[in-house]
Amino acid sequence: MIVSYYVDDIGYDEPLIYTYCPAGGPVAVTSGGGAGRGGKTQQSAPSNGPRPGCVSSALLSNAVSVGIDAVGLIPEAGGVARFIGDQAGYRGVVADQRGTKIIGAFGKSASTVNGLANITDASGLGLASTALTIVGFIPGAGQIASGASLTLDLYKTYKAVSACYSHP
Amino acid sequence: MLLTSLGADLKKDIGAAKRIRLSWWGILSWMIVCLPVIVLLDHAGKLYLALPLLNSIGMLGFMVVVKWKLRRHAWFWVTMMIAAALHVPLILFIPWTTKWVPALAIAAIDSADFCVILAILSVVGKFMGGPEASEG
Repeated sequence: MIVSYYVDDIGYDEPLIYTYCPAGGPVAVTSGGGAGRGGKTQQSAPSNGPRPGCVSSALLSNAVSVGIDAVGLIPEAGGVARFIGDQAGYRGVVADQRGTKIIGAFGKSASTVNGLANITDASGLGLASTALTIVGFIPGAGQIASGASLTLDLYKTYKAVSACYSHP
Repeated sequence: MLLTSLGADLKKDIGAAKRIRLSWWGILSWMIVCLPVIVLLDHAGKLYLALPLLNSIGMLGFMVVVKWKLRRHAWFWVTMMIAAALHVPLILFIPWTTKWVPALAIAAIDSADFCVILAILSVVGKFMGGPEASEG
């Protein structure tokens, strides 16, 4: 949809017609009674509108990685683990333990899904699996890795959304 | 005898490390530290180095927290600097993937890295300051 509006009361010699393109395309400024009537048309700077569907697509594509990486931030006792355990019908410490198990299972399944989807290389997962088998999981290391990964995910999301507003 | 003692020390230290949790403000501070590093690496066109670099820094920092009692020993800081120096070729020369890897998988590699540094510290501690020095 293209909306044109007429501006004639700002003191210029020639009336200006601004054409606004909601899809984010360049804005044409026509002076001197319009392009069809002998007026001069020039392209101004691109508008600030995003391309249609671009922002939601960028957010959706990064939401999965943000969600999975955020799992590592969740403390094992209390908080979200308690909430999840409560939802499963448990109370107190038992709810913490059950919630933690559910979160852990989610993390493991996320890795499996990731491997199946061929998002990452198998050698990385293999190495990670071996490391887990040998030393076990250190929660502090998980929080540090999750914090770094989450920041990177959010930065990539920001860049993807920003790209929707830039037009060549 | 020495190996048994080292094994016991290592097990104790790993147990201590497993009990440490970052508070929400600790995680937030860490993420704030990560952001400028990521932005700088992106501007340099080396965003793929962000996670290896940040995780190495994070693990070395975590090690300092776990072995904080050793902070007055010069050999501890020298060993940490050597460990940090050893991470440089590890970060630069390993062809890290540009694809997304879940944080939990990276955490497993971090855990292994942490244990290797811990073992090195235990060995150096035994030689430099006797049994009491490596207990940290």
